[in-house]
Amino acid sequence: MKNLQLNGLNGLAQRLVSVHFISGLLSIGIGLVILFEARDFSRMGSYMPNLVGWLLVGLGIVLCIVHVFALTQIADPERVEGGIPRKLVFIGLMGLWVAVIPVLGFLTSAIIGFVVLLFVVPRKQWRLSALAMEIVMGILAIVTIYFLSTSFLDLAFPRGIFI
Amino acid sequence: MDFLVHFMSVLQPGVLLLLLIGLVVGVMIGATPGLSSTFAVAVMLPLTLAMDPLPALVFLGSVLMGSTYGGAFAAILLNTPGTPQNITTTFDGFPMTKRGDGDLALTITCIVSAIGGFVGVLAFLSLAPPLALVALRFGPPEMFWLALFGLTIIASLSEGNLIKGLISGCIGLAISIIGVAVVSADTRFTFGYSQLSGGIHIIPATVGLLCLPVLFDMMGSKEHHLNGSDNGICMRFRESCRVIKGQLTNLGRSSALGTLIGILPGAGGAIASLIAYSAAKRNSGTDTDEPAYGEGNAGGVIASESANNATVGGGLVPTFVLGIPGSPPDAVILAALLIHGLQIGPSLFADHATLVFSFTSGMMLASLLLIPVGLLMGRMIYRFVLQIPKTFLVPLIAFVTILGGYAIRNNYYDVVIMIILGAMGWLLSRLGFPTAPIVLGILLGPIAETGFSQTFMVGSARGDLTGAFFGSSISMVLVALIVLALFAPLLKKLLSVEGIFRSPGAFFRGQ
Repeated sequence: MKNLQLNGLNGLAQRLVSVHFISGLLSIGIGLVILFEARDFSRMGSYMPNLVGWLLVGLGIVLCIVHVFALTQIADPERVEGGIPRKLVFIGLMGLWVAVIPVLGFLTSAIIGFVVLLFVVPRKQWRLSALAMEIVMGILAIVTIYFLSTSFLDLAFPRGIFI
Repeated sequence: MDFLVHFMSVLQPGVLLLLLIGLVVGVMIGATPGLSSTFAVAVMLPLTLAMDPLPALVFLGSVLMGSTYGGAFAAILLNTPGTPQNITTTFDGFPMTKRGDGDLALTITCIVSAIGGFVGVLAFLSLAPPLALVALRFGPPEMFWLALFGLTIIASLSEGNLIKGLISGCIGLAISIIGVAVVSADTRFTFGYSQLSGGIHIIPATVGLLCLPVLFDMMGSKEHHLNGSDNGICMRFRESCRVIKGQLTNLGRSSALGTLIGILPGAGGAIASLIAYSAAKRNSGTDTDEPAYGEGNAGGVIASESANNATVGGGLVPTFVLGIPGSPPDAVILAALLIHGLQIGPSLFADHATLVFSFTSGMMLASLLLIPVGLLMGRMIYRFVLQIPKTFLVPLIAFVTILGGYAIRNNYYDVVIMIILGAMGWLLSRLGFPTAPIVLGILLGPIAETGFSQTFMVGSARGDLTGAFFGSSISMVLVALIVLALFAPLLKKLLSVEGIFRSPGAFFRGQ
């Protein structure tokens, strides 16, 4: 009996730190922020935020209750290959790429960003000739697309120290 | 006989060449993530100033048709909708590509786009004046209910995890609120950043939420990104025809829906493809051999692509008859009509009948020529995406998404928002939240809110809120459809052996 109770408590503890419980809390948190901000809006402008806020809080509570009391098995997130650190590095590098656009200019930052990402993407074997070819082809593609966009489509890209 | 004369006028070498160039340019622009049909038509408008009215209109019409179709390439091959009309194409198109049927999806798309486009133009030719009157009956309450009807698809997109799907939809609605409110002019959720005042545009949001998480996950392995067909790179034309033959009802229904929704000012291809996809999913059979909708069912691609191409012809109805553009690209076509000194309105069909019917013939021809042009270009693009090494493709897609995110409004902050939403979408998908409902929330939120606010104000002024929301027959039909969409699965379960009373858990899972 005692074991059963301990198992039950362990199960509850596991559910409290599980991805679904955290998701429920996240939903409640976002809903509360929306409701808090919506206090200052006019009557007409606050209908939608209030509706969305209450829906998020309500659905978050339902998700937590359904999960904690194990009313049903909720589908776990789909598993994807690969480690998270490399993906986080990639996201960070893309963010950095975008951040330097106003400083270096669109084309320059694109070339640098492209070359840096070439080194981060996982590859089966590192061959200098293949890498050099990809760098050359990549720069050619970027420059071509850039000049086609500016010349024929009249797009104006941000300039920094360089173009 | 008259129709033949009009048709022959389009077969002049000069007009025919412009039509072909328009299709190719349109497909290329539409295939670039971020560059919409509106952009494609608008950027080509200055080129038509020196042309006669007929070649100018035929050229712009073929650019519009090509770009509407071209958006499907990136949607199917990279999970990146080239234009908002192609959002629903990603739901089944990309899973088809992942299992090695990308070429099949592209060919099906090409054929059904041509058929959908043809149906839309045919409707324009035969029913323009009466259809335009239907458009006039769609006011704010009808748009509100139409948007809500679109949102009901979230339930069917979230099978296996209904609660999280609904939360995702709400997160999308919350994102759509950001910026200055259309009706009340409140500045909402900008947190002091003036760059957010204009709201979050659907293109950077879509690319960020649907494409970037896929890009991030491609970093996970060294394996090749896509599987090709066992039979090499061919377009599987016969197989595509066989698949389409089995989906004729879906194709007909989606083309009709696309035409009708295209007529409604402000609705456009994105809503049309969403409603058609939803209808196709709800009416799908229980064939266990076929993949489910959302997991690579060709029916989803057929519904989405035939509907969005049918809106091209549908959108021309209010543009030509009433002078009210059905969608932003139609506004550019309207501008072209005005530039060439044509008086818009029902009299256009009498005063310039030759021009109108020759233009319609040109659009029909464009939809037919879309098949060879689309197949050829589809084959080339598919070969490129399939054979290019992943190590090269990932940084290249990163560049194209940044370029597309910027190009839509020439706004640097759109790119910043795209990256933030991409990271957010990836994180949320790790937590098990589907990202497609977020995009739908962003797309439909403003339409629903504007419709609701305007109806509420009119109802309050009249002292009859119920009448304002439920007064018209179209509203009642839409409300009935919403109720049916929400409760049909529950009713099915109640009537089935494994009913809700026997398995309450399944209800919460949406199964």
